[in-house]
Amino acid sequence: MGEEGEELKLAVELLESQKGGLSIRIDKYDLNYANAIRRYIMSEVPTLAIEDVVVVENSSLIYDEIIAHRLGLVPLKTPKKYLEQAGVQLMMVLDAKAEEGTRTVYSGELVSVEDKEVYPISTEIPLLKLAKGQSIKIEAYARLSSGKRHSKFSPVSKATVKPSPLVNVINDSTDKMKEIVEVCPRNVFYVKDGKLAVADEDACTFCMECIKVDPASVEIKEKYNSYILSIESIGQHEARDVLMMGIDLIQRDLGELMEKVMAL
Amino acid sequence: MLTPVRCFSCGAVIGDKYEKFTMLVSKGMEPDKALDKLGVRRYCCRRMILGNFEVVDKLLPYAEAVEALGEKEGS
Ligand SMILES: [Zn+2]
Repeated sequence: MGEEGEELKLAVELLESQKGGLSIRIDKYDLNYANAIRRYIMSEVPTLAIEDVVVVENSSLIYDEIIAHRLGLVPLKTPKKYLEQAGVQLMMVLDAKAEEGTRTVYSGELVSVEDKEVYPISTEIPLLKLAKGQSIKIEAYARLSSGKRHSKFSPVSKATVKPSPLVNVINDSTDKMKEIVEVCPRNVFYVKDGKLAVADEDACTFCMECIKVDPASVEIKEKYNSYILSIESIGQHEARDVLMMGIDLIQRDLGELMEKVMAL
Repeated sequence: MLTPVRCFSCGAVIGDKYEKFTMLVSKGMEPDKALDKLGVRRYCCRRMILGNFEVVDKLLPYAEAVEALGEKEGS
């Protein structure tokens, strides 16, 4: 679907790779396909999360159901060996008592009995508070599922696709340059030697606030067939693995479709 | 009752940041700077922390009083 005479060759560029976050630019690729990858990442990549809870003892102020709900939302590290085991069930326990005084029970006290490689990613999430003398005893069962069943299984928080922005400064000595720099929420512009310049083109979110200030001096366009896909992993898998698994799952599903169509 | 574990809108874990946030603010840091320091960048997650109130802290003294009464009667 490229422009006439244009070479149809996909190009991928890594824009940002931080702890838990990943941002790539895909050139000469269609929006629909980039968005399919995004949606597969959000709703198909499997992760472990607590699904069943047996409350053995609860003398705290918090209702059983609220504790069960909170336990379900605690993200669990998901080793790759479980990804193909659809019916896997792992027991975890939470056993806490307030001996000395009022205290907070954190997610770090939720421990896996069967596999030490499965553990809460953050150990500092407050699950409940116990007054002196109160106690809690819980058996929780972690299961493997994906984001389309419940968003607690989704491996990403942020998952976005946007067109690559093209920010052009037409008149770099405009008298409104200070206002343009200030109005931009993403700090795309800066003033260099008394002239307006672009600092970070990719940060632009097409809010067009700069155009409202001075329509004659700046121009914002979308780059043709070039998209920025950014994801932020919650922690069950590494961000890079999440992206690869998403693409892998599309291939798997298309392969299945291919087999079905061929059997017609 | 308690700090929500996840952000309602995007699903990022914010439950572990409320206590750190209150600690930074009580030390005199501006709330917006404290959120930046904790790496809470999106405004969906920022409002989760800014708008939170720990109701359970208001209820715990009653449970403590009941416990103290029990100890007194026992002795
Ligand atoms: Zn959020």
